[in-house]
Amino acid sequence: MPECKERKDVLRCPFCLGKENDVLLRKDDSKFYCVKCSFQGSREEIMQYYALHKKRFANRTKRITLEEIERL
Amino acid sequence: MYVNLIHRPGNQAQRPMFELQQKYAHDLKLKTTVFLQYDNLFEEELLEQVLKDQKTYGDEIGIWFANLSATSFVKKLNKKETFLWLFTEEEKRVIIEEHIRKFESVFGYRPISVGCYHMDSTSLRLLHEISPETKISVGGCFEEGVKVFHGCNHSWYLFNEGMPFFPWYPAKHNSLVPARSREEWDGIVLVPHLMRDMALSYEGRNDFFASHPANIQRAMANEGAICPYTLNLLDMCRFQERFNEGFSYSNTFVGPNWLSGSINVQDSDEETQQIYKEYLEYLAQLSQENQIQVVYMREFADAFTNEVEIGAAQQYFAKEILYGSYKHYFWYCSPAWRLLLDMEQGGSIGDLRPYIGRTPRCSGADTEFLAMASNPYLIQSQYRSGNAHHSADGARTTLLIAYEGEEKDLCDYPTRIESVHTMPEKTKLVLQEQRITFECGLSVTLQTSIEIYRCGKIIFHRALTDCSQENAVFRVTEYVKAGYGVTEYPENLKDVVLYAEGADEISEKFGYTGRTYETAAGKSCSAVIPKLNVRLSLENADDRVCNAYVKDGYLFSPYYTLGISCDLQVGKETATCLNVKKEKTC
Repeated sequence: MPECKERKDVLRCPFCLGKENDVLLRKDDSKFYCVKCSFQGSREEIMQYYALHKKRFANRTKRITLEEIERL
Repeated sequence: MYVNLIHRPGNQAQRPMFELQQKYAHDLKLKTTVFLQYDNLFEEELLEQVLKDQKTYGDEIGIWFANLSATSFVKKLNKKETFLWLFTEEEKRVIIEEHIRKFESVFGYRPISVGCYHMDSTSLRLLHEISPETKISVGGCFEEGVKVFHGCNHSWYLFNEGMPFFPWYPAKHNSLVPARSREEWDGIVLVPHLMRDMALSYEGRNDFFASHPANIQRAMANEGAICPYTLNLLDMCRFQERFNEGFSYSNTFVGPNWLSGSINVQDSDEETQQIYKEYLEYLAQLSQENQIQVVYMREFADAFTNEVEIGAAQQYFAKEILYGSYKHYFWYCSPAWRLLLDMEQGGSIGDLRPYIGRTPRCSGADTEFLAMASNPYLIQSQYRSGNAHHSADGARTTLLIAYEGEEKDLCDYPTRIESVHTMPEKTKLVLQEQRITFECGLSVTLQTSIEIYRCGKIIFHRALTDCSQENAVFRVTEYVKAGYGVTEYPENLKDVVLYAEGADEISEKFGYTGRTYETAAGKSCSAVIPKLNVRLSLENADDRVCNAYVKDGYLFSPYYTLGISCDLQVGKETATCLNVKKEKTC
């Protein structure tokens, strides 16, 4: 797989993301924290919040074809 | 439907991703437009490859006006701006001249196709003057403004709200307004940067939900490499052929930075690249099935000018598909105005931008608007409250229906679009019936149909089709509450003048008094907004006996309200006209 740069250990705040705001988390040892909303959490916790965030998009894995769009 | 696929090489570090994108496109035989930034024009190895690709695959080559602060000649100007639309006219001229000169020295011709996130009216005029061969440009980011500004942590100064959603003929006085005639047209076709989800463009931050697969990952609207929403969104665009005489459009322009190591994408690079590849594969499949035409931008410019008349209205019937709410929205754009009808808000107008005043607007450090290129709204229900759900209500339209002192608001009765009938000068929407029940147990069914005219007029037809009590008499009020602005914050309305015409002739300056002025034998009520050269009016369109009123706002509800009310029984209907007219006030 082609790569152009090494992925940085950067995550976005899951709660600010819920407000459609991209805020990069700062890291202190193994804890991440948000300068915008005071969230603190581990990588594992953040991944759980991301999974929760995705759930709002109920059709994120559903193919909806042109024919189905016409009927909606 | 036409589709433009655009790639750009980016910087040296991003080059492997550009090469990967090009390989995908070439393997799938997709016509690709490659936009080079200024510094790319000095990279010999890159230019050699781009020219080879052009010879082998036919790629079109154009210019992407971006990342200007990094260019040697902008550094010489001692400027820190990065984007073309923010410079002064003098600087815009230097930048465009230098780009065109260098491009011509490399390729031996001037570009037919160029792009910028926003091509303001001054830049467009200069471009046309410096490079008359240029036919088409990426010219604006639909509905990017306040919400994207918030979303980028208040640091992205691109304000393009209130612009057309489909390709358009930009007017000379304001590039984000469609021209009404050949004389008014600047001479270059503009296309939006990406096609957006037209439901979520209204509800939120729409760069997350556009024809840009990696941005959909940025929104996290995928599961690993599974991301069917990208394809669903493309099909939603194809659906628009039904309402635009067979025309529809989309483009995809993903920078190489998005395909590897993006800090805003939390999926693996492998998943990101897979999603992009599958998207291009779907374009290729539809192209092979003759469902879409993937063309170079220069080809699209010719097709657009041949097939779409200057001044034509464009429409978009949006259905919300990602959250699964399936809400209906209807967008309409003509040289007179742009409208959004919100079925979740009972079929009311949720966004209204009057273009008809023809007030010049252009961004740049030497303009009064600075970065704020957005076209002002009269109604924006998301920014300005809309239907009441906290304190008082805000900007919107509705029908109020009262029986024995109890008043119901049609905004509280979500509906759907039952049918759309498009005609040359107007479009008629028929909405699903709404059943309203009062506390006394009486219920009534209301049928609404809406005629939207190119010239800046809309007629609401309301018919009571059924009632649980045959002779019940209702008081119905066609209602408009509006202000104006380009952000969430209220502007000073003290220069607005309110009128009501009927048995009495009323004319009052907006004064934050909260007063209501009403006349019997009502013909119309209106508000003149001098800064926009616009009169917004509500008119009795069927000569029925009614009252007309205007309400002055107050600081906790800074809006003007127009209303026309009459009695109505089952079997009868009303017709009320809302329109925007040019009002020469300055």
